[in-house]
Amino acid sequence: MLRVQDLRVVYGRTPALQSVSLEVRPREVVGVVGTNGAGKSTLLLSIAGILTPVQGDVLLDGRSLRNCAPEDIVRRGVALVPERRHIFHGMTVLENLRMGGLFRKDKQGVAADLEYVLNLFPVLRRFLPSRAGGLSGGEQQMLALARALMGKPRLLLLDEPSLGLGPKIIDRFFEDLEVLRETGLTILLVEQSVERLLDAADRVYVLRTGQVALEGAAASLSRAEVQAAYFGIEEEAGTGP
Amino acid sequence: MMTILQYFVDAVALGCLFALAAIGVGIVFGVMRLANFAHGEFIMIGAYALLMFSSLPWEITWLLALCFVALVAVLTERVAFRWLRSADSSTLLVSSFAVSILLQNAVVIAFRSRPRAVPLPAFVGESLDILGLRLPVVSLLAIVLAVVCVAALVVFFKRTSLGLQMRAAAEDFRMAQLLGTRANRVVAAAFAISGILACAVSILITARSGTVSPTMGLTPVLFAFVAVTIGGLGNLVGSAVGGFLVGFITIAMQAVLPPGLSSYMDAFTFLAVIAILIFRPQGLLPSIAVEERV
Repeated sequence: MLRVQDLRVVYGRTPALQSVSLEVRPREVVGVVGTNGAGKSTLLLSIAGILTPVQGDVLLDGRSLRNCAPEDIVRRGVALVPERRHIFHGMTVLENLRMGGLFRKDKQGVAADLEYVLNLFPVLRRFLPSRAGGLSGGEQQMLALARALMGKPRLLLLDEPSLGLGPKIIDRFFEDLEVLRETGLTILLVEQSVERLLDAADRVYVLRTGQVALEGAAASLSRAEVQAAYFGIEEEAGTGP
Repeated sequence: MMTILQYFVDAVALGCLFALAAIGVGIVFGVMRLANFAHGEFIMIGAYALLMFSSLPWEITWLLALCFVALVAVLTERVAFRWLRSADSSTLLVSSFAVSILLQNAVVIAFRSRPRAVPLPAFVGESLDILGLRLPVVSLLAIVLAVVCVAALVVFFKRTSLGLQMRAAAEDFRMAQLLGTRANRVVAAAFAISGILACAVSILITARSGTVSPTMGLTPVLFAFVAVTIGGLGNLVGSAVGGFLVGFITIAMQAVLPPGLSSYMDAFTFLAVIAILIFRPQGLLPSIAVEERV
């Protein structure tokens, strides 16, 4: 479904991604893990069209996304829930949700999906007329995810959804993710927590200093292997995230 | 008592004028982070458009002028600012000065630099006497135009898809794009609205002075920027409040300054503005602060 080929992205003269290649197959949950500055968010922003690679390509269903604006990429079925959620604080919860489906032509479908996301995240229903900036961190994360789902994506890009959330809320979030996986949604998930990622993903890529340091099926990788690649050490690591 | 009421009406009317100018500046700033000094030239071009179409019935003249300035504003964005959208704010600011001078010179070439009289509908110069209170029609016009424009903007921002996208883009442009908002469409709409509001200001200024000149946009745009700053950058309600405040301060200065100092009225007005900014450097109504419940 998604193929990232030999991607190189730079910030000024500093390389953020160097020859990164990865693949996401339909209905798969693919995890990307790495330390801060490993290039995880850069990878997602490049796929979503915010950053322009200097080399390589991103193919969706075999068609290049190069030179596509972010607003065109979301129309092709790719939705990004960015790090720190980026909900519209000054708008109501309902307006945030409406923003997610604004580009869609099927108004009946949008109405049905609004009901769907409100059933998926019932806590949002009572806050519909409230200002989104007043929601708690966990509620804002639900809103960000619900807003992305309003665009009826085929591929969901999640950038560190657990960032800044308490353990219970993170547990709940990964339960919701399981529900979404069962609906057949394809997910590319960026996380810092190795353990959670190995539990949630079918396959995992470890990024280190802008390069793929390890890849494999989540079931075949041990926590120690992933941590070793994560920190760039040869031996099995005893402690880590 | 009547004198105070009279001053109040004048202050509201002038506040309406500044509020319209400030909202026009604020809309473009909100979406593009561009302090568009060429907004003064949109006001000036609106006044010349009133002159150009003055042989037609006044309703059609005003309508054509509104459309004309909206078109000029959209074209300005398309030709000059679109390429600089990701540039830093200082580059944008310098570009807006360049556009401003370019438009001013274009008008000088087309109409010469000397002021020209604009034929106005007769009712504009009249006054109504209500219980001893003199209400110039031009003041009522300012109030009516401001109420109509603000009401239309509220409906636009709250009820339409494009309005919702503009609000989202003003808050977080990149996120709005990631949700499918067409950047070009939203920015063009912001400029079109800004142009319409600039022309509303043109109507009010020409109705007061009866003349147009290529430099007539400078003073209103300066006051508009002051209003936007004291109201709170990035907040349209703040821009409107700032506009009213500047109007009230100006009229208050008119009322209290002795005749010998009245020619320095603008200087005193700006002193009052500086005083406000010392106590509220973020403006009276800054953009909504982000507060998360934990």
